[in-house]
Amino acid sequence: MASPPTVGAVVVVHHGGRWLPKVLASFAQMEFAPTAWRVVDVASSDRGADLVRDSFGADRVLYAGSGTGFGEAVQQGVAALPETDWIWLLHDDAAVRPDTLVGLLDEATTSDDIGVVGPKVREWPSLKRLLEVGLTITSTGARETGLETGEPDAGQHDWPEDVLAVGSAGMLVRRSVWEELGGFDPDLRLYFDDIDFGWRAALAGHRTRTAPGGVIFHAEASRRGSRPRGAGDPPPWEKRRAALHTVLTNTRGPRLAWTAVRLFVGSLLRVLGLLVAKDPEAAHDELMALREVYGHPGRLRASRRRKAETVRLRRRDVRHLFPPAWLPYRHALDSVREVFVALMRPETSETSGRRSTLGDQTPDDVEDLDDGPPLWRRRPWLVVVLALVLGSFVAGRGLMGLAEPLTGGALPPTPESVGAWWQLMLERSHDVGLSSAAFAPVYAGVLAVVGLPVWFSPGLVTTVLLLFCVPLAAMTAHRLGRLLTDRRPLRMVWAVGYGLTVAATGAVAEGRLGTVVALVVLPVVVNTGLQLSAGPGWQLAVRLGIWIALAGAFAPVVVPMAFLALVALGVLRIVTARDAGIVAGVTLVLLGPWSWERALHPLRWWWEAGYPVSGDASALQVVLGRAGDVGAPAWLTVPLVVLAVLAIVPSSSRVAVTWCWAVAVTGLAFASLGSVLTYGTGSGADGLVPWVAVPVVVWVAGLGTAVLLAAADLRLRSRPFAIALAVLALVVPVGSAVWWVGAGDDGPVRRADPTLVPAYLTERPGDTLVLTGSPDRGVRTRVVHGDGPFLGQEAVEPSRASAARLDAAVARLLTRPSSDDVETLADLGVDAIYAPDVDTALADRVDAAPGVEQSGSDSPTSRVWILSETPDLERDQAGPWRPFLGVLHGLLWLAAVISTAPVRRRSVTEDAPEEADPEPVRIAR
Amino acid sequence: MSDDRSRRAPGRRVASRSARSRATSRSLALPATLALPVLAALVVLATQLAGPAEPATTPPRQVALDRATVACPTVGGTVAAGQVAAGRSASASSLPRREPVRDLQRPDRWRTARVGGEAVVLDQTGRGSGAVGFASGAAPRSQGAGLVVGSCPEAGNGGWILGAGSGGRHQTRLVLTNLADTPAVVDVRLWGPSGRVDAVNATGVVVEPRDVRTIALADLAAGEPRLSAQVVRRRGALSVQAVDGSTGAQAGTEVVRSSLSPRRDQVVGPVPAGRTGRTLTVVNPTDSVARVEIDALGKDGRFTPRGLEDVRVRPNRMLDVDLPTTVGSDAVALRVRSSTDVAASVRTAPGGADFATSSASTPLRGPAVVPIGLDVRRVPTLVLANTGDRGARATVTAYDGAMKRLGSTSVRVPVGSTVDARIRRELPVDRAAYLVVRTTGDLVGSAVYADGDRVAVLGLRPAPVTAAGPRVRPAG
Repeated sequence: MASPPTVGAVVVVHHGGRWLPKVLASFAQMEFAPTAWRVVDVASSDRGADLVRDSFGADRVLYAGSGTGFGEAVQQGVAALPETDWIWLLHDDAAVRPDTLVGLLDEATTSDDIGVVGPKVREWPSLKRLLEVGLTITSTGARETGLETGEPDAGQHDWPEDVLAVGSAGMLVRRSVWEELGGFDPDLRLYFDDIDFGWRAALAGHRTRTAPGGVIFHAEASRRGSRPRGAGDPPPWEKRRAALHTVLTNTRGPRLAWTAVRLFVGSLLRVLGLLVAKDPEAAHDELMALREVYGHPGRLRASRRRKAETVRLRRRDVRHLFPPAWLPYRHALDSVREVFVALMRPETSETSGRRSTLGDQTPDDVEDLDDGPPLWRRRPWLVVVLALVLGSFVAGRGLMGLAEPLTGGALPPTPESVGAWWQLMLERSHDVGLSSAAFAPVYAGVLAVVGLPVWFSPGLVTTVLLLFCVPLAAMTAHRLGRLLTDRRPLRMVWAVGYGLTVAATGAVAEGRLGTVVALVVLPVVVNTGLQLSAGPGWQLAVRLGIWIALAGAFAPVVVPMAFLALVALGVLRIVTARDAGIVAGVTLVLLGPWSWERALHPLRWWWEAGYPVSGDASALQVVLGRAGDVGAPAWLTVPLVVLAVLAIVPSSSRVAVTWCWAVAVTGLAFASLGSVLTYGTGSGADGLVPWVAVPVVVWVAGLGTAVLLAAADLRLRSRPFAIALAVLALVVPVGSAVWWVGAGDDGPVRRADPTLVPAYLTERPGDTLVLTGSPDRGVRTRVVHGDGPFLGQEAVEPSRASAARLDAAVARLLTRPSSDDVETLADLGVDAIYAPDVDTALADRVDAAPGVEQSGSDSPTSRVWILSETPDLERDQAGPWRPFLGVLHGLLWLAAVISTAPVRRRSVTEDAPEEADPEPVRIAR
Repeated sequence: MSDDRSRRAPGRRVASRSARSRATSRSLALPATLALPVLAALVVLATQLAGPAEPATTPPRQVALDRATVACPTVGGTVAAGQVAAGRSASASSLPRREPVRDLQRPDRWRTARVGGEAVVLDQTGRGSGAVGFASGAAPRSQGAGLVVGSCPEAGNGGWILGAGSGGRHQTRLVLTNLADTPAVVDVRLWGPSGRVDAVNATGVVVEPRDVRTIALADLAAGEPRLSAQVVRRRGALSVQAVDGSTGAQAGTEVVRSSLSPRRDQVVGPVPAGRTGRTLTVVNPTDSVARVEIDALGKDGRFTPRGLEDVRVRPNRMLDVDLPTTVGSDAVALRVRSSTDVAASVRTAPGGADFATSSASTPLRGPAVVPIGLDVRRVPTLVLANTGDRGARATVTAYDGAMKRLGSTSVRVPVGSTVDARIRRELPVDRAAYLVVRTTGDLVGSAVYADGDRVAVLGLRPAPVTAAGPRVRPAG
């Protein structure tokens, strides 16, 4: 019978006192133990040195000075070992099972070309989750295990397979291979030495296999930073330096030049990304690593020469051992998602994503995967949100699809690509009919950023915002509700009611995108305001300014309402004057010149994103939470008003209820004021009645919040009374939901060809003058360039002079037309007149005009005339500084957002208490 | 659902108040809290009282015109031009040769000129200038040798010419003048006493830019002694007039301006005084029978003449109704009301030498010019009729050729009455070149020119100072 293979074990110890008791105990229980042991103590200053000496005996313990790398320590240990067939590398924080070595040898002896075998590594101390079953490295130098974070071991990786490398903890190496390759790279002190070794072994023609039958439990103390640091320990950037060194020294052939450039540029981009993500320490590490590697090319060359001596295969022979090329980009997306989560929920900033060393996550923090109660009981809010999303599909059943853009009512269509929004923000002249050099609206810039992932389908942005506004608003409201009450059922009902109120105003059916976005963002504004009042801070103030600016960009009426609230809070000293000033300043700066123009005409704050279509709310409708004849039945709000009045009664919640009523009355006052005013746009359209949905919802939400805060106290009365109150409280959300799902988003918004004029007119060089109305009732003009304005362009106003000149020329044209009037139109760039659903008297008057010829139209009820004059195509232009101003404005937004993100710190795990006075374990010779 | 009071939802919490501050707040909050619903009610009440804002109404408004272009037929041989206020520039050219008429190119005075050709185009600029033109003179014998005094119209949508003819010795010519730089296209439709008249080559009639085209109705439908024509403009800008001439028993010439388009209520005249020889022509272009009621607005007020109580016009026909003696012999205006849309006019032939046509018109809404300095000085009889339900007044001002004001008189017109303004008595008409009539109330008027047994009627039309133009606003 063949004798079993001989194994010499090398254990490297460095401040391992915390784990060694268990590790040593596991060594003592092995079924098949190594033939020989050597322990290398690298300057341990804790009890670890005593433990190993007691366990192994002083003759089997070697000592290395501080700063000795892992590879070098292993070399010392191997050199002291007798000749054995295999060398088994062990860490002081990795415990074995009794059959670990058996499992490794079983696999190692299956073939002579197997040079390295690695165990299945599980996490310590949970012992259930997988950490490694083989290793590889991406093209960007990331250590890749191929496992998910917290992936439990359910046997899904229990088959041996060839891998690029295995971790050094538990690595079983054929002695001859070890000597052939010269052991670990001396330039890699602690990190990536295992991957580098496996890579060289593969290029030398040796196979590296995983042996799932051999299991070890690894605490990964060095990688997680839980190992006490001592003098001589590698600096924090060593990990990244090692990654770059490994890739650059093992890349063969002409690929090296490209890899070197790519890694260099990629590292710089990582530095930038880490700075944006508020992780300056990681950015510093990246820079230092870059300097260490690229600043010492001689070291690289020497290492490459050494490694080249053992290369026998080509890269393509071992390509199957590397991960796919797209994997680094997946990691980048994960990182972006982490940054976004940190911005949205800074108090819960945590990393997540695929299992890789890009993010440091302590496995102990991951919750147990326990089936437990059903989803609707574990995550009821998630279930509610899913129901609202499903309801959105049903409610928007007539508006789903992407074949044509959403348009109609106050909603212009979206452009063909997101690039058009970017261009709108940066261009010096806008092709919007009567040309304009005015500032583009800020919300176009917001849409440009939000639309980046859907570059060629910007319609998705408006579709999601409009058709899914109910779940979106409910989610932001629910987050606010967490500050207001602990009672989950009440909070959910309140949040759902808020979300449905947004739809119940008829904002979706009328295409009021500005209202919808502002009302989705409004709870976040309130949330941030409450946080600011609880704890002053400039970052919170900046964040509040950002949210007000975001809401105000879409519905400017939010700004004066917010400023009024700020003044009140400042007077009452709930918010400091400094913070209030920061909020106001940030808001105004971020809203930019477009909004400052509106400040000169205060009534234009009522003009939201989209066409300025008049509203028609009566006083009663406003009180009952409606902005006009559209929307859910107004009587649904009556119970809410009754409950809000009753909410005043309980004394314990009266203060909070008073605040809610104050906010509500403020909204009511704004809505009432808007219903009796009219405003005009800069181009001359006037007599427009404001759409007051935003302050109306503030009124309704204020009442709802009063009811929420007093609910517990109201409930404490008699049971029938409580039941009656509950029924009343459910009228708004249930009734609104039934209406919403039943009626759908029925209104002027539809999916249709957005072209405002016949198709052949869009190809003409000049613009088309669209006339609607009649001489008796008044004529409305609109100059259309191409197929009409897209969302954002409708807010870009031509000069008042041009608009007045146009209107005067049209008035004369329709009164006593002369060739001068046609010349004036041509001067303004018009070369065609289009009258949809034309009034007979209007058509007669245009027919009488000299210099116009009838042309074919797209329907029997419309008419087209072509002007005989050549249009003047020159456009008004802003100064050459306009694009730079647009870029500066964007950078201001970016700077404001980044300034509010939390700064990340390098995570350091605190030492767990050591086991007191462990029993000494004797390791047999 | 379990009570989850013990479970704290994640997220930050607003700091809770102490018990002491809570107690204090309880006593302070009550008045403030109760005031808020009351305040809300007051806000709602104030809003209700203020009433909801309404989108801006955009009724038509008067637009000051700064250019006027008119076309004058040259049947009488003389064209007179003037304005309500001095203009900035003026040009005149005779068609079809497009020869300038320099005598008519002074925008700051009244001027006349003898012209040739078929028509003269007068073009004048000046904000609110109100330039007008008149054709006058004696028509040649071949055209009836009647007295011609007619206003020169601007471009319009076409027109209705009633009482025309294409048969025997009654020949009417349509004078279509294109005032623009692009071709104009019209259709001509004809009605007779027996119904629609098929016209030859009557559709798609092209008038070249800055040109005049004279179309004899006989070329479209010959042999019709009584016709009414509708000119439908399809494209372009052109003025429409007719020269109606007869060399038969009832000879005469008249420059006929377009009557009002068919409608259910209109006023024709005032027609000149006369015991006999006044004929009402009604055209019903619809497919229904028109039941027409006719009231007369005479010197003593409104009345319904016996014999005109029940006038019916069959579909697509024209009807001539001789005004009975019950209408009286004074100048009178006729109010024509119908169950369907009809067009109406009155022909007056006091003798056999000449006739005049009074068309329907709308009440004056601006200053009207009455010429005196024509081919010769011709002082008309100015007749005014009140078609409204309140008293009206007209101010008549006389000007000389240099546009110097010579004097004015005010004429009160009772409701439903027709009066003679007696300008000869009230104004120095012997020195006047023209009169300007300004009205308040609903007044229509005619200037009746007589030269022996020849007569011409000039319906008062407002000078193109302003026009009712639509209120134009951006759509937003």
